Amino acid sequence: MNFGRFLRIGCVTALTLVAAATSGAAYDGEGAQNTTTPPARQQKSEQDPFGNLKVEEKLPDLAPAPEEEPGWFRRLTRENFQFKTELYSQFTYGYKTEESRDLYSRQSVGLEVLKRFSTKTATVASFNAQLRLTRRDNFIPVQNDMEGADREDFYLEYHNLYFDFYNAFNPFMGQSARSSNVGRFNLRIGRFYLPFGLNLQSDTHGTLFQLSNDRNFGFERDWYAGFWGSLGRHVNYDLYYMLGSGYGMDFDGQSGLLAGRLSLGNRYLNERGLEGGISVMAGERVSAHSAMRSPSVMERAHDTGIIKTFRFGLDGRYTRMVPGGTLTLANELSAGQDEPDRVFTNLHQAEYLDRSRRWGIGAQYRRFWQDIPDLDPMEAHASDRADAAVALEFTRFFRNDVGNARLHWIKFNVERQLERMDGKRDWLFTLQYYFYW
Amino acid sequence: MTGIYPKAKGKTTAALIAALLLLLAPAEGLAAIGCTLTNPAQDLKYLFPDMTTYREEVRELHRMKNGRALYNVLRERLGSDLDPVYETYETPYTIYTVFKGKDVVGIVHGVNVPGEGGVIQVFISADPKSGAIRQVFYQRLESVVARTLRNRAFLDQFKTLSLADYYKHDYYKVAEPASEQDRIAKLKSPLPDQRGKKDYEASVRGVRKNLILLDIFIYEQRNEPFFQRTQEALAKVKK
Repeated sequence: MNFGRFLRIGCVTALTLVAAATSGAAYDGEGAQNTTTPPARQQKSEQDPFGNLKVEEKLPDLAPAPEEEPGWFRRLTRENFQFKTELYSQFTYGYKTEESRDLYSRQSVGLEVLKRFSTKTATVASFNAQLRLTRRDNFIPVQNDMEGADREDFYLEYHNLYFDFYNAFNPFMGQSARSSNVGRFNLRIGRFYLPFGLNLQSDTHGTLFQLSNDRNFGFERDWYAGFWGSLGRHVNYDLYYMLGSGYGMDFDGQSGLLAGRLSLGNRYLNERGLEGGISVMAGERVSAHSAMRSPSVMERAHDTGIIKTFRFGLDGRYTRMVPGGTLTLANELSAGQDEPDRVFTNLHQAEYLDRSRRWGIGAQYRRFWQDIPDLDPMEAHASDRADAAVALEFTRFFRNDVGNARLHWIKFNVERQLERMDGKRDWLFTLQYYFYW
Repeated sequence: MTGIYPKAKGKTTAALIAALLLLLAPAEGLAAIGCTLTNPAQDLKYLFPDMTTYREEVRELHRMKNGRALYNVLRERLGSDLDPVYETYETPYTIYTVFKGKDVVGIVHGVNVPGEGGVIQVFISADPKSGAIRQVFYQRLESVVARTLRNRAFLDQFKTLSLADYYKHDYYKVAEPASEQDRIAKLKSPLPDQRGKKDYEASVRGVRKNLILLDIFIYEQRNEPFFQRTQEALAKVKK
């Protein structure tokens, strides 16, 4: 061993001893529990202000807090119960549309009740009711108040009035079958939007723009019972027997309507902004207005107002972002018969909502055509067979909650009637105030 | 067409009934659903293939005792102002409890948050016992980078995160920016550039808001010690 090598070994040994001594001092100072933790790291860990905190892991009490006054009425109106109020004011001016040149006025106060019923492990049913006390003066046939034709002065109206029973066959199923059929067989009984076109998935309760059904069938809601649900993730279905009487629960000898609809699963709306479906409706309905506008239909109905009906419909709606807001395009097409007349309806709508949700604009074109064969060929005009209009609308929102929890707006709507089966074509100017909370 | 009250005799009666219904209504119960699943059965079944039933509970801050105070609690723990259009005091929330037989297998809850292009609806599926995230998913997502944000790999980063992690992040980002224990700081944006960055941030905020509300609605604020400790620790750091 030469001197140089000895010196290197000596230096390394000395340095090792010094390092060990230093390390030992630090080790002693920091505590002896974790021998693998580097000193600096351990220092940080000691300073961690959350070191001794832990979240308790236990199942929370998922039942609602007991009420102070557990009466049945209080439970009914407190647990999963929602009550909404509505103010509605509309004035429409139609220059020479009708004989009366007075201002059409529709003023109403309304309410809505939503209630869910649950067991300990399932929400089994819900109830929805909408009522309005309405005052009408100088009625003219505006598109959002077709039912108002016979309701001059005060009138108490119901709109939605129905029960949903979720997973209605669960009481008859085992656990495995329940699991396989979650959301598949929901029973609906009562009065709600017709399962035809986009109306089932559109809330038009307070809007001026309406969809096709009111003009197409003479009513947009009917009394019905039937099933709705999901057929997998891609397709939803609706299948109902309907009374075919519209507003009143009337049995006037009509056999009623059978209606079915297949629509895109909700994932298409959520992921692509796309809704759509196909609908079929067949049977008999009662609509005095629909019978009266066609001599051939009236003759076939033998003055009963019962109309043999068939419709096939195709609809779609696409929502997408555009600069500054959201654009929604909607279309409804339907064809069929009010025996013996053929009918065809089309509606096209575009709406833009500013990102602030403070204002929006919209445009709608709609046309209802009926092949009325008994017209005198010498006097008949193409427009005698159709009602068509184009409308533009501007909305200033004061409140426009994403989930419609609160709505508060003023709308201004201008409509140009392009074709009318009955009466002169003209302009309609509408101002509406709406508050829903 | 006939109404339920023929107008000749029904005018006064109708007015009285309407007035009575208005009087009967509970004065504080004035709102509708804010952020619900549009098809809960379908969505929950996808998340929990073995589920048998689910239960919906509507929770509304303005109908709860100390609701206004809890709304302030939400704002404070969120660390940012609540949007007057998308995040109102009256907004109702729906909590979905998912069962397999009689066993609770999951809790699902959604919130609205404002994004750059409109609304972002962020849902989480939480472990019923711990409240930690099992899955994050969007319902409505009005964003130019919607497809990127829905990327499964991005959303999977939230798995097992808890509200406590968010509270701790508030401390670590100030006191120990590179701390290994800061799980929120490890979240990686799926966006290749600055486009849509606000929507990414809104999503992360939405998850936090969701967890805070669940802590209030379901978990009796069991994560509160973490928030308090964060405030104390930050106060020391600032000294």
